[in-house]
Amino acid sequence: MSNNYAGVAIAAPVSVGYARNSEHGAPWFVGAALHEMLADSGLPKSAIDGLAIGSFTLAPDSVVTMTQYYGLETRFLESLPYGGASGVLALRRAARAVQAGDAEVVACIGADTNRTEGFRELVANFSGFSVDASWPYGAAGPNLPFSLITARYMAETGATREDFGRICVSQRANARGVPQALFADKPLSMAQYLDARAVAGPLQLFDCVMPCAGAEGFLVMSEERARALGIPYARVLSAEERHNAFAGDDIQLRAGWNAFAPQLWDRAGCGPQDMDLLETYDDYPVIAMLQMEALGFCAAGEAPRFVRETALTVNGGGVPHNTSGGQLSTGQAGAGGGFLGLVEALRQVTGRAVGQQVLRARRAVVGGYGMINYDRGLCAAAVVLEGA
Amino acid sequence: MSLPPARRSVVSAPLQDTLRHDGLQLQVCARCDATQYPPRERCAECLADALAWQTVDGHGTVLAVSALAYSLEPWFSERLPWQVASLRLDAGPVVFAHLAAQASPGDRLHVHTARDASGSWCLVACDGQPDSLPHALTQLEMSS
Repeated sequence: MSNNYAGVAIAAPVSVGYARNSEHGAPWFVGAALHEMLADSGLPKSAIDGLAIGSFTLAPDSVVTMTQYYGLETRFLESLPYGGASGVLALRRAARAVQAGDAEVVACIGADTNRTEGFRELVANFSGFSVDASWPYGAAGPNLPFSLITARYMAETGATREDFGRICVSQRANARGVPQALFADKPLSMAQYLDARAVAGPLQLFDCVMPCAGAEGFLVMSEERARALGIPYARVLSAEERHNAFAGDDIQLRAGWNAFAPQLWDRAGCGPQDMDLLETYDDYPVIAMLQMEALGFCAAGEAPRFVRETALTVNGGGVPHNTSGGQLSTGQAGAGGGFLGLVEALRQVTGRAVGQQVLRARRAVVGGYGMINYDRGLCAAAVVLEGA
Repeated sequence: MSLPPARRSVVSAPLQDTLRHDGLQLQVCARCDATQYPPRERCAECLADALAWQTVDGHGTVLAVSALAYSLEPWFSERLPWQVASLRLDAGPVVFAHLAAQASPGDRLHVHTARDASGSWCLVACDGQPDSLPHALTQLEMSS
């Protein structure tokens, strides 16, 4: 059975409230995203009848408490504790609610605050497995598993530090002029990248995202509704998710994307060669490389060569990649980081870039990845968008 | 004075309470024999409520090694770089373990249960030489 997304529109991309640390709680960021999405779409608050939120810092509040907090009456709720996959998963669930008539307009939001001690507390208690089997081994959080993954990837493919640097340096160039990117005004040279302080194994400072506060969001509704509102929107050509794939692999050098990619492109009716831009989930550059391979931009193990031969900047004539700078230049606003690439792709394919616009951008593929339970990320997701 | 993170899950309490030998104690399913790690409430293979802590084969192959140069806990921050390895145990699971010696991917090591400086259980990897475990425990400020 086909899992098509016909008739579904995604609109009103917002990125708000970014700050290194914040005294505001997560509800402030949820409210900021709602405020901006209503302003962007021209919809009244009463039109929002579905709410889907990804957040690590919303407790003791929750998705349903946000309805009373902000005076919403909804008939669809979704909580998305899926970190870097929460944006794509929000879109998939909201699209089904709209297609089935369970909701007409679903506000999808990834929002988190950040406090000085907040990140340590989050990673120290991330999951049962991490409490027993990861945190006691150096209290390094995700840097430990990703340093092991990066080391293994380098050994197997011949990737060099400079190859990872090409991703980080090009993303920093893409962040120029992007208001929410906390490093937009801090250019990064390859020499700075290579000389940065060591963090874990082969990982150095600029391989790691900076935890921050912020929110990302979009609205999901019918195409009919979006057209009636006269707002720019994109269609969903296909979307997939796969969790805990290849569980027997020693170290994660592939994930759910590898399992679903043929289906993703088959259902989208196009391929990687038809994409005007690529938004990967970039918690670490090695994970961006795994997505380039899995989504078919190059063969398995060939991403180092791909990034050597392909311009990744916005209008560099290659494959525009993480066109607003990604999390590596913006900061990682908790689950908001799982929405960042999707929100940016939506801006690009509707011609609404806030930084540099990919000329004539119409189609984009976005990867999601998340939840480092122990030694690997469990969630993998992707969506192909087309500007309407 | 700082200590490493002491907190472990309730499900691992039997291991914590009976730690007294070298060797490696992990959960094994009495129904299907599957060795589990990290600790679980029920068997990951057959879902039976039949897990018991047993001494298992501690031999394993190093998958990757990381020298941590940054930590979110002061005890480790004062002792950087801190070496951690991931290993595929012959008994099945992948483990993270503290590493006292230099090791490379493919090396064969022994994984032992130990007590870190907080007194909580942890895993230590060392080579098969007779005095390597006591040497490693001293170096890592740990005990058996």
